[in-house]
Amino acid sequence: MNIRRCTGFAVALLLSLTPARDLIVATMTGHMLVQIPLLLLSGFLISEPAPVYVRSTGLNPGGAPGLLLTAAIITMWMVPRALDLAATSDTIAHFESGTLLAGGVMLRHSWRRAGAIGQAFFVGNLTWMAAVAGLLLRDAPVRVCTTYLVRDQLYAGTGLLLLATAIGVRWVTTWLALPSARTNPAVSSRMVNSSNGKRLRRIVHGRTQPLIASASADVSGERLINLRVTRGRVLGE
Amino acid sequence: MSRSAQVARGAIGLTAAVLCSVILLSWATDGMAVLTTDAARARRVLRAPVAVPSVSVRSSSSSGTEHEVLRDLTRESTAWTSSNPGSVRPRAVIVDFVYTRCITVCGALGGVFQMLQRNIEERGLQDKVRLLTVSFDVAHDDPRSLALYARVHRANSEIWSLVTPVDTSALAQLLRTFGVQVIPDGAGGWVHNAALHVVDPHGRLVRIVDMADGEAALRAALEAWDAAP
Repeated sequence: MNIRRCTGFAVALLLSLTPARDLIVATMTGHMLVQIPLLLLSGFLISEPAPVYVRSTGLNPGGAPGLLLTAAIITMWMVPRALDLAATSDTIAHFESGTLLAGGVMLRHSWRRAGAIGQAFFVGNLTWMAAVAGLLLRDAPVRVCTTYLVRDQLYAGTGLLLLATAIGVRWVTTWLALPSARTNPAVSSRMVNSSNGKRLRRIVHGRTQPLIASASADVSGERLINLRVTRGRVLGE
Repeated sequence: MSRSAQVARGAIGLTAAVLCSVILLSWATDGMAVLTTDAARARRVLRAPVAVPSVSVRSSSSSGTEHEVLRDLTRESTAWTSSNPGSVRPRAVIVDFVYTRCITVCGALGGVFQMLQRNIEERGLQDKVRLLTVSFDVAHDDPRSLALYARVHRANSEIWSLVTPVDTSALAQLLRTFGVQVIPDGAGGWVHNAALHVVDPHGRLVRIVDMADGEAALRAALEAWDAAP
């Protein structure tokens, strides 16, 4: 178990089973901008990108089902009524933690497989929606949550707007700055195909030897998105 | 895995994801109908009326430890009719929740009730509809505070009565039934979701309308009165 995974588990436990949770969700800002994003993040940290046992089921083609369900989970916990329910009922609070952790895990499983287009859809839709929700919260003439104060609603709205903008900007700049290999499977597979063995080994951090022998294996390295290696041929996935 | 099996599996995965997404979002929005707790509560009540609980309350006119039962109050059984012998047939009730020290939304609610009372008087509806203000400030709002609030808002005791639950457990039960959530405002007071609750002559909560829409509450109350045998 590496440090990344430990952190994920620790944060998940802290946020779902300790009094820290009550402190955080006592305010709308804490609930929407700390609790929910951190639970997603811890789910993300706990899992690994597109593990073989998930890919071999074939149920998550291109990461699309995973990203769709994750988007639905995030959307669901932006609904004021759902926030109220989670803030007032322990059962719903556990449901919230569970779904968000699952969302984080699915996000990790699906992210790289989704490629640039899928990621653009996911990030574009969610940041846009969060920004609009933030604007609506800021402008709402009444309290939308029965659990939270109107002042808190203003802070949460502003925070949501800033967070959405930050994520959107960060994603776009990352996408523009990195070589297309990072996000475009077609390019990455071409690159690996045309390269010699030395380059391939370097790319996948020395994990090429056993992987090339297997018919379909996960060679996702740190630098490249998932590759499927079949009889020495490397295909983008 | 063959190509067709791959496609089939992918389709299953996608369908399952869509289905789960729809289920989750429907759960959060009460069938894609509402976004807020208040809207969900109004919808629930409209679909399935809720019986007002039998909790003990003190009214603005009661003295010492004397108390009445709210459910009887809304149904106008002996406890109520003795103080109002003129009315035989039970009336529909419009209920609101306040605390008398409140200077924000409760004052507005008081204004709405004043307007409703004037409306009821002018249109001669006092045999059909009455008003009930419930204070949730059990610790502070004794019959004297309620009487003061009534005086400030010129409550006509024939139409408008004021009560407070005798203890916090009675209060909790009442707030749960009416779906009212009271939270501290961080400055010594409280914030609560304010609305007008229409209770039919059988003592059932049948409609919840926005506090600004007194006319709709009155209309709903008259409908409830007409519908009752």
